[in-house]
Amino acid sequence: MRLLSHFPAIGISNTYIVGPKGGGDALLVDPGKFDVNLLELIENNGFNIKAVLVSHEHKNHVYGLKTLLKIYNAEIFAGKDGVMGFPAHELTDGTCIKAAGIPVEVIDVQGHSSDSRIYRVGPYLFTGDILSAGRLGTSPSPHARELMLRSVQEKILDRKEDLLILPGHGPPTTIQAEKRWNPELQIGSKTF
Amino acid sequence: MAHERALIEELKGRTGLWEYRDYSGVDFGGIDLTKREFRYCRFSGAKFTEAKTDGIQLLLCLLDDIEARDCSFKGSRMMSVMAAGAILTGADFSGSDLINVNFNGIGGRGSIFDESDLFYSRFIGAGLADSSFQDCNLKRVDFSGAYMQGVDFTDSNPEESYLIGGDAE
Repeated sequence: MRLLSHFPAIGISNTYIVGPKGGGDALLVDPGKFDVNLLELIENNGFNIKAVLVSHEHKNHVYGLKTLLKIYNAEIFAGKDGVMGFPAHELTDGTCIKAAGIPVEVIDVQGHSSDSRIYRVGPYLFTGDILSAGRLGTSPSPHARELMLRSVQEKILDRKEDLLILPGHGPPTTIQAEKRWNPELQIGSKTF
Repeated sequence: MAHERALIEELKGRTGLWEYRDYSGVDFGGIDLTKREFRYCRFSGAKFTEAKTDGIQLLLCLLDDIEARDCSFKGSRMMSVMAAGAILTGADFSGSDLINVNFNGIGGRGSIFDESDLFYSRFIGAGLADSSFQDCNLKRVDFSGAYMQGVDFTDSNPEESYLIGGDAE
């Protein structure tokens, strides 16, 4: 399995691609911006995007979907049954699916937006706006923040320490690094 | 050990691009990595002390907990790299592009980042006493909770970074 990452200069939302070695059907996580660089990255690696995993329907994570679907015939997987007006497979917590033939575990973590989903694909954890290096995502209320913190502790932090966290914004990290260096999780561990 | 030796021999053999390799725990002491390009590689816990690392290019590589005390990374290019917890005391990154890099929790006392572009990188909880960030781009850099006594920001734009909770003088 190969991982590719795309960090656009405008928008600053990460897009990731996972597909087989040597090219073929692949999945793409969060098409925030579909630009020429992303297209070249896909094509130069011989990938055909068959599935899109949406972490949540905020514009900076899905804005490129319209362009992507003009080029690739891809299924959309999300926390709701439609994204940007396109039909999507609605995913619930704990479900294991196959997207572009690749096994994906779905984790529902509330607190940022009601449709937020985290996806585990092999050794990679795509966390969207829930968890990034040294930070938890933003929340609309203190209650939502507490919910997010509790969910991250219960559903994310007890996983393998070297699991690679690939967030919607910011650089990559690991479970181990977040336990050690994320100040919000340090406080949380004392609270719960 | 045999696996480590094979990886190092492979590096000695040619220059160019290296992808999807696992160099975790490898000791690169004395190895010339100048201008080598690595993508999607893992270097967790590797030792770079005494290695030649000027101009190294890294894309989405893991350098967590590496030991690179006093190493020179001058003119390097790193994008979406994870270096949390690395020992970078006295390391020199002058003239580098360090975009979207995770430096959270590093030990970076006396490190030098002069004339570097650090756009969107994070130094949360990092030890940066007496380090130098002269003439840098610090737009959207996060220094939250970092120890920053004696940090030099001459000709840089710390006002465009996040310094919340930091200990800047």
